[in-house]
Amino acid sequence: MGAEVLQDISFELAPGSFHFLTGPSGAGKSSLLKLLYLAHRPSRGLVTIFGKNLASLKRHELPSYRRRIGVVFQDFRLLDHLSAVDNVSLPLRLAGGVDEMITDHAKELLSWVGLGDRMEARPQTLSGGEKQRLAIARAVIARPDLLLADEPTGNVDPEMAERLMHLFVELNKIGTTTVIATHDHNLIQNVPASILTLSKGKLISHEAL
Amino acid sequence: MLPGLIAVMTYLAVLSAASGLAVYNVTQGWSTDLAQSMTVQIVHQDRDERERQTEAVLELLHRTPGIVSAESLTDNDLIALLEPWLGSGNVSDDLPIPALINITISSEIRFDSRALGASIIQIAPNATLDDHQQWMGRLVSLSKALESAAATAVLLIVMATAIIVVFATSARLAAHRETVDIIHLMGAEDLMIAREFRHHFMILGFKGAAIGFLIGLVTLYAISSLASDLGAGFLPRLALTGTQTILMLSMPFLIAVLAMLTAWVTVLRNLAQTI
Repeated sequence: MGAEVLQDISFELAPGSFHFLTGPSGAGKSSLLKLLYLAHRPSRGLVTIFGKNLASLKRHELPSYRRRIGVVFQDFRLLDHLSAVDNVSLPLRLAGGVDEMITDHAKELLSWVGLGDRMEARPQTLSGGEKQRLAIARAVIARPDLLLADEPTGNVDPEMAERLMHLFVELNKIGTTTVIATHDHNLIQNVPASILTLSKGKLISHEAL
Repeated sequence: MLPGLIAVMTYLAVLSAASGLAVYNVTQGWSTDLAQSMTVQIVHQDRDERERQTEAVLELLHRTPGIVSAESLTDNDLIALLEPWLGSGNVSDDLPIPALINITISSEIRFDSRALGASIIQIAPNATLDDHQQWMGRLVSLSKALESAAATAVLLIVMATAIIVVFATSARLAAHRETVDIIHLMGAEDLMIAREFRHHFMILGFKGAAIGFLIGLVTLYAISSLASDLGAGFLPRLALTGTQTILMLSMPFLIAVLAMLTAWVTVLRNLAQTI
């Protein structure tokens, strides 16, 4: 077993709350997010998600929990063989939605994030900012109960960053618990939210709203 | 690449299965013919005594229930049997030739050839009854060995095909690891992911199996034509029964199903190792 990346971390995310996760590079933000989006299990300690102890969840129970979580990966992790609209549709398809409604919904959301004219484009033909907006659209389309975003506005101009933050805030208003990992202090200052600060794998401050 | 390998495997499976079935059908035919016939041979230097014993045996045979016919071979018949070895016109009158009686028995009853043999000896001390059991036993053993060899070949080909599909599936899974990981994190269940692979490998498996099967059929047809050119009866024809034909025709489908299930199980086992 390797060295422990996270230690002495204890916090609770109330349903429908909004949080920023911040700290220097290597502080453990991404590792913490990985625990939250169920890519890892903790080697020790207790992680409770949607009222269930992660350690007691059986492997076959995880997909239904994962479908309740929207993730914006720092490196986007878009599927290169699918068009923009199909990438965005994926969470709804995995949830077993009706094809026609899925496509309409995906197109509407793509237009909203400014990709209305890139519906059929493959991710590899998109710019960094466009990929980021596509990744965000994919994370929010299924109106997840928990939204986790790792540096979601790192590649877009301030105007688009504000627009995307507005999207997160709107989603939060309808009940989605939101955690945004970012270095961007402007972003943090503009949105009223609690701030979790990590340093060297430890939670050094938790400023409540 | 995979359809090519599966085509080769199917081709080999078709040839192995066809050979096994051909051997089975031919020996079935021969042993049925032999099981219904027996031969009595009477060896005596003196022609009159030979004929007396032959008449006595024929009279006994005609009285025995279960015997459909019993006919003594004429001198001409016996000479015709010897001529291929001694040459035409070389069978002299003073050559001592045994008398032969061909017996056909009913297929409906179980005939006790040992009891008949004992009765024949009592009235004709120089007679022996050959019910072909010894030769038939060897024929059946040889046939079983050939059929087992063909079945083993088919089994090994099936195993090799499954192993090829396991490697191909693992390679495809590794090539698409990133995609699989992402949709896994988005909540795709293992069965959903495995279904995609299952469909893909069923199509590839069927393509390869169909190609191999068609080439196998052409080969069998060519062999069959060459065999019939040699003259009827010299080599057995590959005549399949209804069930055997259905079994052969279903081979491409069975191989496609094998590829599909193997891929499915491989993906599920692989995914089970992730969180």
